[in-house]
Parts: sequence; C-alpha cells; structure tokens
Amino acid sequence: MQRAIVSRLTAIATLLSLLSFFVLPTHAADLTQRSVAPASSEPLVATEYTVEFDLPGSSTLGSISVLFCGNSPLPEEPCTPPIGLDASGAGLITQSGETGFSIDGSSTANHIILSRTPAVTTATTLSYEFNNIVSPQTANQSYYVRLATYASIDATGSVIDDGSVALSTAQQLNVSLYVPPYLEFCVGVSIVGQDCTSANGNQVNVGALSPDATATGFSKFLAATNASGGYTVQVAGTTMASGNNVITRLNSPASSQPGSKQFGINLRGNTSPSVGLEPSGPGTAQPNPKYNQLNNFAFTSGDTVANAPTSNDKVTFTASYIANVDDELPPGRYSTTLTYICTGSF
Amino acid sequence: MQDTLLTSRFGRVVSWVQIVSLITAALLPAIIITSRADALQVEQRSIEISTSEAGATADYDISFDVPDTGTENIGSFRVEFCDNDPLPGETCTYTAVGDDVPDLSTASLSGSPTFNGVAINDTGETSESYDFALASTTDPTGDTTFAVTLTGVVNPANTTDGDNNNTFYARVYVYSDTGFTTEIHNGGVAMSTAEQITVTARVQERLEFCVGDTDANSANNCSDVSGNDVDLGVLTPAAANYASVNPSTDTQIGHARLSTNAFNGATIQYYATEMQVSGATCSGTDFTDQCLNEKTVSAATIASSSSTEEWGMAVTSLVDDGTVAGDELTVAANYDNAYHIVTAASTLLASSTSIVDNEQLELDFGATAHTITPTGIYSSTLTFVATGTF
Repeated sequence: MQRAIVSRLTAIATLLSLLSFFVLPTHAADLTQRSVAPASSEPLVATEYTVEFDLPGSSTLGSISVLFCGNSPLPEEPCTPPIGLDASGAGLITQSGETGFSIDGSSTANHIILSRTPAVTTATTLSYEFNNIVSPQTANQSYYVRLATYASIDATGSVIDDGSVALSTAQQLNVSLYVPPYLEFCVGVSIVGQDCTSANGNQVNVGALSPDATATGFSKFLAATNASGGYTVQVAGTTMASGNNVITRLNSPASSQPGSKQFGINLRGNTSPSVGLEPSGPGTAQPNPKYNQLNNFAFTSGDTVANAPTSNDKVTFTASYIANVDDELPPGRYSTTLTYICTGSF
Repeated sequence: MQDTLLTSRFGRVVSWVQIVSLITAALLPAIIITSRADALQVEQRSIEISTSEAGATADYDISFDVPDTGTENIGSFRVEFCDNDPLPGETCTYTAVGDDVPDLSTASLSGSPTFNGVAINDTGETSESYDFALASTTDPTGDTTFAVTLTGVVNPANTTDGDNNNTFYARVYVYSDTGFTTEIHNGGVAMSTAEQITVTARVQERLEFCVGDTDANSANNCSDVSGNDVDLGVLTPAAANYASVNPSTDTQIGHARLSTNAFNGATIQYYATEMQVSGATCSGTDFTDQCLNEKTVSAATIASSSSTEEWGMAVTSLVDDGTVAGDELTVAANYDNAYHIVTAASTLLASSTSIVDNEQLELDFGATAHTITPTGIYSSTLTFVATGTF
C-alpha cells in the first residue's frame, strides 16, 4: 500500500516538474521602446506620468507592475522608494493597447499595480497615463521605474516581460525681469517720427502783431507712458506781455478775432486761422476738451491740455498759438514762456 | 638398477626441461620488451582544436614527431578517435561518431602538407579514424615532424551523457607502407570539449538630467550645475535685453544637461508659464495686461522696438562634453540660435534618436518691452522634462 502511494506521488512529482519546465518561462524578455514621461520634472509636485512600452510577443496578461525606485533600475536589486515620491493617490486616466486595467488595491506609494482579467495580448504598444503622482523631492536627481508584466492579476508569480527606465527631476528655471515706470515726454518746435531724440527748438516766433491779422505759431510735445493711470500734460505760464502791457488771454475757448486782444492755444489742426496739426501717433491720448476745439483757443496757466487715462503709447501733439491785438496795444516785444508738464499716474 | 637408470634418465630430462624453462623464462621478458621497442612512440604529439565547443565545427591541427630508427620507411599515418582511452592497440569504443568522438565525415585535409618532402595525401575518414598516405614511402634521416590540419571536423556533441566537459582521445599510428598495413610507431593524445562560459552583464538604465543657471565648469556633469534664476534686468522700450549679455548684475544664462544611455533616443521638452507680473491675468497680445507677449515667430533676435513686446528663449550652443564624437541632440529648429517661446503647452526643445553622451544646451533668454508695458517684476518658470526611450 505504502509503495503504491509513494509510486503515485513520485509520478505526480515527475509530471509537475515536466510541466513546469514547459509552462513556466525561464527568463523574462525585455519590454522594448519603454519610456516613462512625467508631465513635469518639478520636485514634489503632483503631475501626470505616461508609461509606454512595447510587448516583445503575445502572452497572457493579467497585471502590470510599475515600481518606482530611487536606487537602481535593476529588478534583482532591492528597491528603495524615491524620497518624496507618492503614487498612493494615482489615478489611471488613459489606457491604450491592452485595456481593461484598473489600479489594484494592493498598490503602494511607490508601486502601482494595474490589474485586469487575464487575457492574451493582441496589441504591441501599450500606453497608460496616470495622474496625481507626486514626484521625488530632490531636483536634478535620477530615479527609476521598473516595469513588469504578469499573467496573474496581482503582479505575483513569474514575470513575463520586464524592463526599466531612468528619469530625472530637474530644477525649474525662473526667468525674471523688471519693467520700470516709464514716461517719455519731450517738447520742441519740431519732433519727427514720434521720436523724442529728434525734438528740436524752443523758440516760437508768431511774427509781427497786427489788428488786421492773427499771428500764429506752434510747438510740439510728445508723451507716452506705461503708467497704468495714464498721464496728464499741463501748461504753465503767462499770457504774452511786454512789460506791463499784456495781451489778454482767452479764459475760455473762443475763435480768433483779429482786432481784439487775444492769446490762446489749442491742440488741433485749425483752419481759421490755419495753424496746427491734429494729434498723431499710435497712442490714444487726447487733448483736454478745453483745448480740443477746432478753431477755438484758450489759455489758463495750470490747465491740463492733454491727458491719457491709461498707459499710452506715443502721441505727438501740436500746440497752436494765436495772438490778436487791438489798435491801442503799445508797440513792444511781447513774449511768454510756457512750460509743459507731463505727469504719469503709476 | 633399471629403476635407477630410468630414474636417472628421467631426472636428466626433467633437469633439461627445467633448465630450458628457466632460460626461456629468463629471456621471455627481453623478447617481449624487444618486440615493444620496435613500435616506438611518436613524440611531441598534439592535436590542437580550434574550439572546444561541443558540436562545433573545428579545425584539428595534428602534429607529432616520427622517430628515426635507421632504415625504416614511412608510408602512411592514421589518427583514430576513441572515447575510452588513448592506448594504441586497445579496442576503440565510443557511443556514436559525433556524439562522444568527433564526426570526421565533413573533414578535409587543409593545404598540401608534406612529410620529409613527400606529399601527404588525404585518404579520408573511416568512421572514427582519418587516414593520411604518403605519395610514396620515405626514409627520413632523422626525427621528422608530421603536421597536418583537418578542417571541418565536428566536435563531439556529448548528447548522450549531456556533459560538455568531455574527454576523448586520439590514437596515432605510423605505418611503414602506404597501405596502412605495417604499424611501426604509435602514440596517444587526449582532448576534451569544454563547457562554454557565458559571461553576462547588464548595463542599467541611466538618465542624468539637470537644469540650472550656473555651470561652474569644474566637472563636465550635473554636479557643478546649480541655481535656477535668470535675471533679464531692467527693460526699457526700444531695447532688447538678453541674459547672455549681462543686462544686470546677474550674469547667468540657462543650462540643461542630459546624459542617457536610452538606446531609442531621448527628448527634452519644456513648459513655460507666462512671463507676467504675479497675479496678472494675461489676455492675448495686449500690451497692458502685465504679461509679456510670447515670441511666436522664431527669429535670430528679439525685436528692439518700443512698439513691440515679446520674450523668447534660444539654444545658443550645444556643448558636447561626452566622449562620443559629434552631437547626438538635435535642437528644434525654432530654438536653434533663434528666439521663440510657447507657454500654452509642453514643447519639444531638443531630441535624439540614440543615446546622448553628456551634452548641454546653453539657453539664452531675451525680452523687450513696449512703451506701454506696465511696470512691474515679470517672471516665468520654465520646467524642462527629459524622457528617454529605453
């Protein structure tokens, strides 16, 4: 009786050993074209990881092991988890090639196991994207992912195919610069091409004053700023005078009246008299309404003559001057000095 | 008396028989030894096989010295392979030709060897032995070396006993005639197939990647790359600032170094955030949104115009610190000595189709501000990702 049992056991053992020889793979093949691409190399930040590889041949596939190690990609080496890496909250957001996988409950902070009902593979290229994996904490440091496929559903038993990849965190590069408060302003008799470097002259000669005709002249100023509150341009000065003899300034906009004492300015291209140009340039600044009336002129020291409510590109304004006199105005050299002041509101 | 006579005659006969027996017994060893001494051993005998791999096709270099015994002719040679022993004259045993003794069926004599000036002819194999006949008998005047090479010999496959470390033997016979009839010398040689040693090594996957603003050049690797701030200084309209021309006290540019043995290539991609004042909301190509516009059209320079606002990145050089000649990385055309930037998505900066042997991208940055670009400190964070395909 005992001999019979021993004989049967021996036969079974022999059969099993033969079966294991034919069934169990003796050496795992390499997964090829394998890569693991994090969406970001920034340390200690949750990001997406895309795992891709090619299967070397068809086999029964029930689980895929994605093991993060900080020490070595070699599967025969003990795995030290990368410091800071945390895949415990990872989610499988896309899968292609062989599908039907979900993250197995036995997964850990550095080990993701994809599991499905075992099935014979038909695809060659497999791709899986995970989110919410926290990368290791040290920048510019290599770490590794060991990949392996199994016929079992929980990454146990014999490895069918395997392979590793190396990847690295990286220091982020911060590029910075400073845009300073900027206000460009220039005044001259001439300014060419919206270019302050071309500003030239500071004497405006309106010619001989006569009760019969309006004396005119002009100057220019250019303004631009990156001040978020824009800018204002004020004019300061006095009306034209010669000693105690003055030409009455126009307190409010009025047309030119030869034979009357008038001194005024505006920022328009007037036709009566013909003097001045319309504001020009890429900016949107406008003359103040008081000085923005065609053929009407005014002058009050301290008035804002132009303004931009926001940051503004270059605008060249032409300030037109008129002077009218009556018959009683004593002869003399009449003049004034006007100061334009541009103020940015940053 | 009769008995005495008989006894005496018989005794003499016995005595003579005893004497003859003693003499015979005394001389017999000498006769035997003399007979053995006629079949002298060939000296310096060896069979060098070109490979000991079991079942492999090999060349057998057979060599031995034939002693000169006076006036003996030499006419032919035979090499017999056996599994049991090298002793000439013993029964030669083996399991099968090709199994535990070489398979000579595909062997042939190499070249046109001679012995004492006489051509050695390839007489061919007979199962376990190979024969060489001289074109004619010859009588060397001294010890003469027999040396031939058999090509195409198939080593024992050792199928039966399964052990590749298998000794087998050759017996060498020298005949005085060309018909392999009268053996005059012989000798034995031992050989062995051997297990081949398979030495394996695994080169582990490697990818070193680092980014920084300083390369100390003290070591051509990541250990001397540090820092992460590139300052483009103070921008004013109508002028472009470049990191490479030291717009501020910060003289740094960007460095991205990659070294990997990823056989199927590697990529370096980057993702840049908007160059903006903290908290700003960027809106297209607006100049006043506290975000610098991207340089969307690659160009060799950043525009120097007060009516333009842009910033970009260029790979101004590729430093090859590796030992493999030439550059493995190819810089994407938009960045190859040209300024360009993308903030909307991860973008390819450089790639290779094979390993990358320690190469470093030198990254320059440039920017210009529009007249109305709002004041503020602008910054962008660039994240570089290197991915190897192993």
